[in-house]
Amino acid sequence: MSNHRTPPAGAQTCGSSEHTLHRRLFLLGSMAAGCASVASYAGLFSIPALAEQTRRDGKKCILLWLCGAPSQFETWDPKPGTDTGGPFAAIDTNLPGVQVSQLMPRCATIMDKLAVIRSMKTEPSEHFQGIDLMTRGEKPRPPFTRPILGSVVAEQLGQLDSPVPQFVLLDPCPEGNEFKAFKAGNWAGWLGAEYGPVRAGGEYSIPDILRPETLSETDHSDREALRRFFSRKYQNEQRSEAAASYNAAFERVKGLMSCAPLFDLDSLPEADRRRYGPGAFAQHALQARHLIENGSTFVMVANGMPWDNHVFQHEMHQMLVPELDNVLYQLVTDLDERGLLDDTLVIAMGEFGRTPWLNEARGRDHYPKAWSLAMAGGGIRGGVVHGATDELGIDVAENPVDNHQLFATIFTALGIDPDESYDLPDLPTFYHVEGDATPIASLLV
Amino acid sequence: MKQPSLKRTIHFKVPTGVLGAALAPDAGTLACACMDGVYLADLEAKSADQIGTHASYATSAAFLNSQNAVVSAGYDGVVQWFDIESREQRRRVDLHHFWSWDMAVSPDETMIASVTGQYLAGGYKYEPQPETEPSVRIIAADSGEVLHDLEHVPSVQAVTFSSTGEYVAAGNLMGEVRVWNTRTRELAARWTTPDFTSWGIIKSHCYLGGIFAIRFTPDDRHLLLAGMGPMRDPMAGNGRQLWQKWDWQQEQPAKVDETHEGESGEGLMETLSVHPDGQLFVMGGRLRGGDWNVALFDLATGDRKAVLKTGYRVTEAMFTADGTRLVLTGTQGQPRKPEDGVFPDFGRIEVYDLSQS
Amino acid sequence: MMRIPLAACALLCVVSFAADNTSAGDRPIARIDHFIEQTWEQADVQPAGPVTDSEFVRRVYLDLVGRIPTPQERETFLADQRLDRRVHLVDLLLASNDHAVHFADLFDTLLMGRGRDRDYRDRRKHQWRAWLERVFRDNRPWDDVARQVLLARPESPQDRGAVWFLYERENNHQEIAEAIAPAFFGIRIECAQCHDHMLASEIEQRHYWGLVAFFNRSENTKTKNGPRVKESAIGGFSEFADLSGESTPNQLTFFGAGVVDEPRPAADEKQEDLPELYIEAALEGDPQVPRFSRREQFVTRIADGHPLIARAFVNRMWAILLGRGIVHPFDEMDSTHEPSHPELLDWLAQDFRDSGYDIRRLARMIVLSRPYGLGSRRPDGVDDPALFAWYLERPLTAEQLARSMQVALHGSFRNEHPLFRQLRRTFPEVLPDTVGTRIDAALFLSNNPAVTTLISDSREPSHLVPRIRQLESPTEQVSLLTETIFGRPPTEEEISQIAGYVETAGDDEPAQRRRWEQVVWALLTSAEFRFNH
Repeated sequence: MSNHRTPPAGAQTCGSSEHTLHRRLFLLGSMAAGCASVASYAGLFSIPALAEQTRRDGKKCILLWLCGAPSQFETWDPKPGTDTGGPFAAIDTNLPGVQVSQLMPRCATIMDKLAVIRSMKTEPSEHFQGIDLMTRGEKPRPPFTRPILGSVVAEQLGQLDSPVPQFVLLDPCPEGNEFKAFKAGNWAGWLGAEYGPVRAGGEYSIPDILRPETLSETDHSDREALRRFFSRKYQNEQRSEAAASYNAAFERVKGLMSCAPLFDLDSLPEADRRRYGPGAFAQHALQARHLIENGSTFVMVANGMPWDNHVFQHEMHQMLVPELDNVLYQLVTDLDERGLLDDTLVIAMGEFGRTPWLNEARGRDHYPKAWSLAMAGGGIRGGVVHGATDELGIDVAENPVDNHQLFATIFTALGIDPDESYDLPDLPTFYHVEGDATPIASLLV
Repeated sequence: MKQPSLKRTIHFKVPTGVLGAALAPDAGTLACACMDGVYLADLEAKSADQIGTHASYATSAAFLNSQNAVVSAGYDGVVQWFDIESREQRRRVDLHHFWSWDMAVSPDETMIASVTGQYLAGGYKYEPQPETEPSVRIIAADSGEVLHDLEHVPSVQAVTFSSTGEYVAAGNLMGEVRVWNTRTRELAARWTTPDFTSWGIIKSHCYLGGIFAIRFTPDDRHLLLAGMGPMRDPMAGNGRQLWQKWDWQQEQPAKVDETHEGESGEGLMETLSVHPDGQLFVMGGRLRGGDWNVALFDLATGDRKAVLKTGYRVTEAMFTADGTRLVLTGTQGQPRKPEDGVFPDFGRIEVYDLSQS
Repeated sequence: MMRIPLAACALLCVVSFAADNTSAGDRPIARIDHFIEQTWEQADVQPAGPVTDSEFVRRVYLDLVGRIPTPQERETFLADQRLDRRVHLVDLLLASNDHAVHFADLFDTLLMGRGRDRDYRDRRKHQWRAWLERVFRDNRPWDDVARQVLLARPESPQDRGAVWFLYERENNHQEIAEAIAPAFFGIRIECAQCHDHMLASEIEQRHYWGLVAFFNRSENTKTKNGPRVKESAIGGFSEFADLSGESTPNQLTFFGAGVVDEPRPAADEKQEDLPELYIEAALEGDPQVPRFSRREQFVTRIADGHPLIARAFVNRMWAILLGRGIVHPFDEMDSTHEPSHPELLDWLAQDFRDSGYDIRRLARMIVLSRPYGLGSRRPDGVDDPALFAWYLERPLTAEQLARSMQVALHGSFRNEHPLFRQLRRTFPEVLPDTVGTRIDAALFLSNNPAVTTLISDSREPSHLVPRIRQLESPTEQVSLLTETIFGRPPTEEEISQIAGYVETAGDDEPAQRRRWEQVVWALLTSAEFRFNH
């Protein structure tokens, strides 16, 4: 895992001689405001006024990105005793008349806090397109790239002058086929790369996050201020989007450096780590909670594409679902206990579902025609099961939900207007959600 | 050795996939564990009757000829006895919390072994968690009473008895084989071969595969294992069609042979059986790449002698007691659409004449 | 007699001078311009104005020789009085060794992908780099290059580097097929492994496995002549299954081509590897060659004359020089990616074929075309980069950066500098689909010692900071700075900002030097240096 050192103790705060030095750079516009030279994470909260500011007004979101597509039969929409139900049984939950797969005993006890949609109905059955659709909310319209949900939420609800990255992707898996290609793409789209995620997790422990010892604090700041001066000039004269993205990346360096400890799994309490479970996905889900508590706005947690079980469906789901079950349970319970659940939306979702029939290779294949997902908190009403599939799970029987309605619901829950347009120059009019999609009232608090 | 050849003589379908099967001594009846229950199939008549169900898939079936019974195990962790004549259920034992992956009957029909184990996340890299219930259980074949609970690491996917029933061997997800003495309950041998297990580097950072079939050679000196060779992307299912032969009685068990170069394609192998004359063995499973999914091998030299491409995944391959025929069961992919309102049958049963010249 | 005004005389002279210089070489350029201008008209857009000579020289050095020009090279060009000085510069650059190295850098990444450090060592050691550089130095025809790489049977020792394309893939025949398709045919076929391509359904599973089949008798071997890829005369027959379980025998075929017939043994039949199935290799010591060689069949029956070979190459060259392919992304020329200028693409491909797959000629005509010579500031009322109505900014590749930083600091460069390895890791992209900077690049430049050390180690009297410090006035100093790094004079504001900053060091010599080093850092990491514009 990450092996960086923690920043040195006694790092500078306001009032030091460093501050005086920085005043020399006022010509270069180096410092945004007063004591914003945050040299250490500890320093941030040692200034009470600043600490108050960074405490959230807005909502936050954790997206458990179940890439590869989990089977709805083995999770939220079991069909025990049918030809398509598979070998696992169903169990009762604390919602009368509602059952989930036997692989989810913990979530069964908190169904009053969860909202489950069983009637997802979308088009793409191929991973890249499915991931694209379910993380951006709309089909692509080249050459424009719609921002990922996390980028929109970071832009709308995040705090740009917070040193903590507002949108974090935790995914320790370097590979992942279609998801790998997706991770290499343009996430922030027309919002600009400053709203793209900071990626961490596993070996992605953010290299070069600490200032080199041979470079003084002052030189580090001063030269960045100079760089920014030249780059801004170029960016404006050239109307250069490429330069804008480039400069935006630099804007985040200082802040990111100050929160290096947040990205160290080893700094999380041992008891919590044991409670969430040892697997990489579970550990990073815990880290997501930690990041949200400490100032991030949107954390997306993945671990490659383990759910794509064309081969060994039940052999894999028997391990993956219980882990998800525990993670979701721990997250929702933790947030609830800390009084954060009302303001934190947790989504557990993949890019589609899996086929009712088992293929020849002991697997289930892709199935966008009828699938499930779950949400909790952050303006979503708990104890709701929305929509239904038919007896064998082949088609949606009631209340189909597509990406538009889902995103309308998510945005509304978070306090973002789905019908508002992006107000950006040189861009055709795009709305947060296109068409006339109405948020699903029964899912909202 | 003579060159064996196979010619199909019987083939018919049953409603759902056959996951495990056993032949009656007269080779006319086949007990089948199917996705929708337990069946007795009449090979000549090419028909099958359902005699019982499990709460979900039935995975293994065997004859207890001395009791005139068929015994089955399933993903509900239950073992059931059925009377062959009346087809009634005689007994059921709730043996495991999790599913029975495989079941074996000792040759003297005194013991039944069933293996279980849910793969759960036990570490950062998704190493399996230790067992929460006994992974290997041996019960008395007549009463269902538990004789032995033996410890292993989940998921334990294959089990078999030696020729006298003195030993029982079980293999798991991680390629670990444990052999116990059934009289003394002592662990007689234990080793791990990594060659059947993948850690899904590309998509799925966890373990997959493992040993899916295990058989003693007739002299009990060696153990045959079958499964699929390692893959970077297990979702491709393109591991090598693989068997290995191990000398298990040595201080350090040693691999003495495995699928020969150029003689295997790709796909999961899940059944092994030794010919009654002890010269050949069969391995079967799925064709993912290559040109066969069932093959006969020379037990002594390991050379591949004959191949079949059946067009469906083979889950059980058995020789008749007189060694003249090979019986295969298996499954196609589950059908998606009913034809005229009825879902087509997708379980497969086939009989091949085996001639050697 | 009519008195022709002097100006008109001059004009006539110019016109006739220009006319005298209109060679066959200008007609293709005019064709390119025509197709592009036509689309501007149809879209009713006003393109950007032409780029100045000062901007042009930096741009064309970066695009053709992979680095910024030295101040002397810049001055030489700007002092050139000839009207067609750009043409001369382009011809000069294309004939230079630096050009061969730069294009070898690009094509090494495009054909082989970024590798580990070990791979780069091996690519040099086994002459792949040298061979690739020779391709561009000698301007070898592209169809010949493809043939050599895919056949991988060198006919002379100096061509032995060509085997490395196959060899580095370590007998992974699927990886080989997945590399050949984009490298030579401009299409990606990975999706067609388990089923027909879901989006571009013309790419079928049998094409994927067909391509694999052409190469699955090949096997790496070490000979006394070096690494070779030998080929068996038997084997390689199998079936491939789709997700429903249906299996199909693999035949020798590929997209856009027919099936190469080959007798197929029965399932049980064991083929015998007999000596009479082989002939001796051309080079003594090389492995024997099958009489029926699948690789050779691929080259002669499939690749030779395959329409995608030319089409893919011209599209890629267009992407390299104009920042975006006519089909974008450049290696996805399938039915789901329409060309922005279909007639232009057709014409370029045909012209390339007719020219004998002349790479240098193609690069030359693109670089001398009107779209290439446009300013890089996006004009009002246009936002679609596919119109090529302005020069598309693109980031420098790791190699361009590594060379350019050295040129800025030292006035010269070494291709073996450790900076190459460090920058390759942080900036691995060549021809990225989108231009956006991720934070790890900013972190690297801000905190990794690589660039800082490069600057602080540059202390020779001829290096930039020492030379700056030799000068007296801030104006002179900052002028040298920006001329060297950006290729332009500084503005008044820039002079005062920098001077102000350096002055804060007072009389402290080491502190002054450190200030200048930070200034140099700031310029080398600024957007203006980072991008080709």
